[in-house]
Parts: sequence; C-alpha cells; structure tokens
Amino acid sequence: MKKSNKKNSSYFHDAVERFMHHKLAVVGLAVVTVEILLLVILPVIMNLEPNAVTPAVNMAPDKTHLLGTDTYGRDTFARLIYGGRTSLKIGFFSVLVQAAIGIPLGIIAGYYRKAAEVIIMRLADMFQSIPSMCLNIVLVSVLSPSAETLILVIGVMGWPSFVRLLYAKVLSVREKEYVEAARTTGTGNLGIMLKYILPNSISPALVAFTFGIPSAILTESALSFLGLGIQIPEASWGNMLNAAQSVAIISTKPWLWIPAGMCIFITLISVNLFGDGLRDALDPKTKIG
Amino acid sequence: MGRYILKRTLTAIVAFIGITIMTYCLASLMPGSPLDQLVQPESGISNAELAAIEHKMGLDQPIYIQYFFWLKNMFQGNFGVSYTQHRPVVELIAGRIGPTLLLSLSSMLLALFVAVPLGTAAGYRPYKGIDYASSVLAFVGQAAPNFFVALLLIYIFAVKLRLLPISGMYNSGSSGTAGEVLKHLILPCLALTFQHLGIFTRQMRNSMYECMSDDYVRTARAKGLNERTVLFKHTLRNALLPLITQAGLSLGALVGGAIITEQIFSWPGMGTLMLKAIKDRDYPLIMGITVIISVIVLIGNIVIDIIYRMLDPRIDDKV
Amino acid sequence: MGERVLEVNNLTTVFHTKTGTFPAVSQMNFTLDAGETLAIVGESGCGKSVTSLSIMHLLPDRMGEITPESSIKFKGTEISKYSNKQMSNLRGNEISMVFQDSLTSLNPTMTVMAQMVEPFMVHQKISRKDAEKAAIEMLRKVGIPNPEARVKQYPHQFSGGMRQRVMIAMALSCNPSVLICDEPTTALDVTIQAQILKMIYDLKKELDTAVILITHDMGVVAETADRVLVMYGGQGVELADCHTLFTNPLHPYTQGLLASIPKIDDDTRLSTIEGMVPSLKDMPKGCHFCDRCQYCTDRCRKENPPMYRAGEREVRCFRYEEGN
Repeated sequence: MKKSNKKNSSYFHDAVERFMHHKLAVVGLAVVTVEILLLVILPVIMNLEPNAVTPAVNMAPDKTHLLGTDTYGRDTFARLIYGGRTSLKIGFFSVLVQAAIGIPLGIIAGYYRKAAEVIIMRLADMFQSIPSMCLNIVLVSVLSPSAETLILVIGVMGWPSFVRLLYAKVLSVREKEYVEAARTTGTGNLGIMLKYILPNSISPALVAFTFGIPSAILTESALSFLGLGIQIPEASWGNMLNAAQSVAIISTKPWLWIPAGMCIFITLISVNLFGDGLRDALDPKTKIG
Repeated sequence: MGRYILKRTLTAIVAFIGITIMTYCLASLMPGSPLDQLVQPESGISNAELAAIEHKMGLDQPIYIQYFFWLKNMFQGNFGVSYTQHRPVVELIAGRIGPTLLLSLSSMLLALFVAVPLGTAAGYRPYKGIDYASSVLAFVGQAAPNFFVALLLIYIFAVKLRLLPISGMYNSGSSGTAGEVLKHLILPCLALTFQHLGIFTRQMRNSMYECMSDDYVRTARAKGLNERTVLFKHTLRNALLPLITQAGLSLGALVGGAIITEQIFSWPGMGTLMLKAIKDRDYPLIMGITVIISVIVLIGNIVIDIIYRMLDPRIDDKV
Repeated sequence: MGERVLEVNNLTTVFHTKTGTFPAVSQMNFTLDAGETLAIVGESGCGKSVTSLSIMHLLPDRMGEITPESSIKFKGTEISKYSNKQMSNLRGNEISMVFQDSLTSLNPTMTVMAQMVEPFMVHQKISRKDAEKAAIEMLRKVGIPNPEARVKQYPHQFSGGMRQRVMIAMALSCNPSVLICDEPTTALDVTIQAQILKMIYDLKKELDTAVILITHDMGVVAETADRVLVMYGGQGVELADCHTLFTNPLHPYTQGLLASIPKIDDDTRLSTIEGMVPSLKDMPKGCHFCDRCQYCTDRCRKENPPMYRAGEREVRCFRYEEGN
C-alpha cells in the first residue's frame, strides 16, 4: 500500500511539473482562477444591480457605469458579472451531467466489450454525426428555456466525448495484470470496475471534463444568443450579444456586445489552454516539444 | 470498395432511423396536438368530425404506429403541411437547401484550403514562426464563437470599411448574378469557417509533425529522394488522414453553426427557416428541417469516409 | 579485399535533448572495403544505429548532430559535411540502407511499385516504364514470387519476410557500393531470418557490395561477418576479424558478451555481465565499461582508453597498452 502511495505521489508530482512547464497552460489556469474569483467576489463588494431598469438608457461607459448601460438603462458591467456567473454555472453543471452519463457508459463499453460496446459506441457515433445544434434548438424550445433546461440538454447531448476518452483508456486498463489478478481472486465485475477501472480512468475523465466546459459554454451562449437559452431579464453572456442584432447597435454601441463577446472568448481560450496542458501533464506519453 | 460503401450506408441508415425516432419523440413532447392548430375554437367543428380527422391523420393510433406512418409518408416525400405557411413542408425546404449547402460547403472547403498548407508548413518546421502563428490561429479560432466573429466581421467590413453586404444572398430587387452571391457569401462563410479553420490547422500541424518522424519518411530519404518529394509524395498523404477524420467529426458542428450564421446574415437557408419555425412552433416544418439537415450530414460523412478509404488502402482489410 | 569504400575517423555524434547535449557515439574509427561484411554488434542503445544514421546523414531532425572533428570518407571523398542535397545523390545510389521494421519503414499508402521505381527514376534518370521493368526484375532477384502482380499491392498485404525482401530490393536497386542493414532480421522468424541473411550474402557476392550489418545477435555475426566491430556505450571497444574475435576475444566486454551466448554442448552455467548499461547521460568519465569490468583499475575510472592496436586488431582497453 505504501509503495503504491509513493508511486501515486511521484506521478502526481511529475504531472504538476509537466504542467508547470507548459507556460501557456499556467497562464490559462491563472486567468480562469482570477475570473472565477472576480465573479464570486465582485457582487459582494460592489453594489451591482444587473436587472435594475434606470432612466439612463444607452449611456456610453463612464465612472458610474463602467461599461455603459443598455436600452433599458441596465448597467452593462453588472450584467456582465452576473451573466458570467450564469454562463460558467451552466458550463460546469452541464459537463457534470455529461460525465454522469458518459463515464459509466464508457466504462461499461470498454469493460464488457461485445454487445455493450457495439450499442454504446454506435450510439455515440450517432450522437456525434448529427448536428447537435439542430436538436439542441428543438429540445430547448420544447422544454421551455431556462438554466436547468440548458444544463439538461447540453448534458444529455454531449456525453459521447466522455465515452470516447474513457472507452479508449478502459480498453488498455482491463488488460492489466492487476485486473487479471483481481479476477482470479474472485472480485466481481462491479468490484473490478469500481476499484480498478474507475480510479485508472480519472485522467481521461478530467481531460474530457476540462474540454467539455468551453464547448458547453459555447453551446449555451449560442442558444442564448438566438434567444432560445437564458431569458431576459436574467443575464448571460450569450443573450447580451443578442442585443447586437441590429447594425445600429453594432456600430454605435459597441460596449453592449464587445465586452460579453470578449469574456466568452477569453474564458474559452483560457480553459482550452489549461486543458491542453492538463492533457499533456496527465499523459506522460504525449511529449511536449 | 463496393462492400465498404454498402456497409457504411447501412450504418448511416441505422443512424438515420435513430435520429428520426429522436425527432419524433421530441415532436410528440411538444405541447399541444396538431389538431389545435387546424381547429380554431370558433370553427364549430363537431367532436365526431374531429374524431374523423384524428382517425384520418392516424392520431388515434399508438405512438409507434404514428411514427411508422410519419416515416412512410416521409419516404414518399410527404413531410406534412406547414401550420403557419399552409404549404407543403417539402416545398418550403426545397428552396432553402441550396443556400445552406453553398454556405456549409464553401466554409468547409475554405477551412481545408487554409489548414492544409498552413498546418503542413507548421508541422514541417515546428517551433518556428509559422508554427507559432498557426498555434495562435488555432487557439483563437477554437475559442471564438461564430456569432461573435460574425458581429465583429460586420463591425469591421460592413460598418467601418463599408466593403461587403451583410444581409441576404442578393442585392434587393436583383435576380442575382454569381458575383453578387459570392460577395454576399464572404462574411457568413468567414464567420462560419473561423472556428474550424483553427481546429483543422492544429490537426494538420500535429499529424504532419508526427508523420515527419515516421520510419517510411526516413526510408524515402534513404532512397535519395529530395525533400520536396519526401514531403509531398510520401508524408502529406499520410498526414491528411487524421485531418479527414477531423473534417467528418466537424461536419455536424459546421452545419449546426450554419443555423446561427444564417440567422445573423439573413441568409435564406434552412437555418433561418428553422428558427422561424421554432418561433412559430410549426412542428411539421421543424421535424422536416431536422431530418433533412441530419440526412445532409450523414451523406457528408459517408462521402468523407469514402475519401478516407481512397487515401488509406489499409482500411479495406479492417472492415 | 577490394577497394576501400568507407573510412570513418573519430566520428562523434551528439544528441541535443531538453536536459542537455550528450554524445550518443564518440571516437568511432573503422574502415570498409568493397565486398566485405562488417558486423557492428552491441546491446541496444550502444550507438550502433546512430553510427549508421550518421553515415547516411539521417539523424533525427534538430536532435542529432555530427561534430565538426568527425570524418567520414566515401571512396576517398569527405562526406561528413555534405549538405542534404549532396547526400541525396549518394543515398540509395552509392550508399543504401535497410531498416529493421519493414512494416513501418514502407509507406503504407503507396503501392510497392510506386515505392520501388523511385530509386531508379531519381538516380538513373530512366523513364517510369523502364523503372517499372527494372523494379520487377529486382523483386524477382530477391525472391518475390510473381512480382508483376504483387507490385500492385500495398505493404500491409505482404508478409514480414516478403516486406523485408522488398526493402532489400529497393536498397540494392542502383547497385550501391555500401549497403547498411540495421537489424534486418530481428523482427522475423528464425527460418525466414536465415533465408534473408543468405539472400543478402548471395547478392553481396554477385554485386560486390560492401555490407555493414548491425545486429545484437552474435549467431548472425558468426554466420555472415568478415570483420566485427563491438560497440559499448557509444564507442567501438574491439575490432577484429570474425574468427579471431570468437576464438580469442580481448576486451573484457567482448569476453562477457561471448560467454553469455548459450551453447548446446556446454553444461556450465550461463554467465552474465554484472550491472547495467549506463545511460548516455551518466556515462562514466573514464572507460565506459569500468563499472562492470572485473579488471577495473583507478586509471580506468579516470581516463577513457584509446583504441590500441594489437596486431591486426584493435581494442579499447588499458590492458593492451603497448608494453603490457
């Protein structure tokens, strides 16, 4: 037991070291951390009222309204912060749903092979070959748009990426000697999957989780942009861009849409960079440079 | 090859059936019955007449029977009648397929035409200027939502520079020449392609980088071939294979992205029609468009698989 | 023996890695005459392949580099500083190479014909049609049955032995002066191994090609080589003709290597060399073998011995310093 602990800690140590070598990934992690801190702290220390309608409509940025106000006189900065909380929350929880579906299915497909493998992997193929945006649109409009609906829809539609990564990993883990040993000592299938396969599948799951978040945020913001996601007055980065559907606003009131777009962009690029570093750090085989 | 296409078509048919089941289930989850739309409260249709209509439409049958009715009608080209526009769905969709295909295909081709040379150059000379440039493009591309790119493009090219049109496919009142369509196509195509361009370039760069250290490349050099032959004849073809797989995976996302892009640029394709149908809760139209878009993507995937198979002779023995 | 075709002097090849620059091969000296077979033997990682890749200028991009003091002479011409373009006129034409893994070494997406015609077309500047005829002839020569039909196939449709024959046919297309075979039979079954070795031997005789055979298999060495260069830790440690080496090995490493070959008519316990091959990063400062050598002295730990001449042979060990 002690020995395996030592092995784990040195693997962890190596992984951290490999990650720190990846300078862009460290920057990505730093940006995401700062962003989350800001989203958590700013509403506490500042007096932000994202939904307060004021007579000061369409104001350009100034001291009281850092990023100006929208057509209802609401403070764009406050909406940006609250919108960010919504977008990140939906991103995180929908990937949680994906993981809850994808991890067991991936393990079952890789462990049992045969019919389970064919059915699950074909299903994953199918989900990936259909234009998911199309079904997303239909689904959210059927289920009436809300944060919970978005989490559910993005979660249910997005599981195949987890299945793919987990399945590939499980295929190699199930052939390992310790799994064979466990089987000969009479450990049941469920026991082997929980005790041996699952712990060894954590790194692909972490990678899938990290890359799932930007993709979920992208889907959420696209749906909200189309007016099918988070509904006004509640703010999300996507529906803030929805305001820019006229050339007049695009050209004369850039503060209404550029900040929200940049926030999505910066979040996505940071999480992607972090995910890249994480993948390389957790998988020693893939060489960096 | 024939066997391969057959096998591939069969899997696509299975996927198609899965998609239709999902679509049908979704439609039946939608609030209200199709009859609500037909029967206005003031029309004074009796319950008996209503039951007759219900029977005629097969609505008194169990849901799986209804599904088969729907499927059968669909194969006969009958997708039903639009609730709001009172015209056959097939007719409404038919005129929209062309523009959507034009937008999606041109975006896919543009992404490939940029990614292949750029990714090849980057993978061939890694950790140099062009490689770093392609990495930046890849990360920026992956993180840039197409609707935000679309707005930025409108801001720069249409508002500030006044260079390009931002709405529709033709100038108003014009029947449209090819040049005119092309001019209208530029911005939506760029907006839609940007994300995939980044992903494709990165994929091409990585596979090129890996292929360059493959043994057969060393063999080719050991034969005394010059670098150009080594690169274009031996390496490129092998490096293209993962990119083709990636193009297949991205096809669905690209067509899905076209829905949003069409909406922003008022492109007269299936995407704008779809969003209008969603707004109107026009179920037959929604279902029809979903099915047609899925079929387009499935066919696209088969085509991509066949191209892959043509480039990689090993696949033949694997299936 | 014939004309001197290859002369390697003080060849040192360094590898640039993240943790620093290390010599993968240092102070290599050997010669090769026309029609001769020189075997280079040693454990994996001893620098055998790096030596051959250095001669071919096929070291991995951006990683391996031949140092300026090295000298490689091909038929009297210094080629160690040749440009890639100059080298490509020699490669596959004057100096050819056969690699270990024929599955990965042939291009999986090109037919055998497409790969076979290349050396002919590049070096002999003949038409595709003539090159195709020559390619089929060459494949017939290496014992591929029905070559007219088989050239249209892809490498994965060939067996391992047949693929290696294709590799050899390709390497010998332009009748090179030097053929370097890097573990050509390691991936093959024993019976196929013998066939391939015999074929290389026959073709060598027919074409008067000089062969460098890289292997870790002393059995293969005994069967095929005229002279043997034993390598250890990136250096040649003993160079002798094949018979002398097997009957009277001088270097302690060679002695250990030969003692660890199992013999059927010998009941004594198989001996092994104690310890492990040091990695390139922590090679001893003195003799590279000192940590595993039973004759090791203080001097061995401090100084790396040069190659000493002992009659017709050379050995890198202080025990054979003149006067000893």
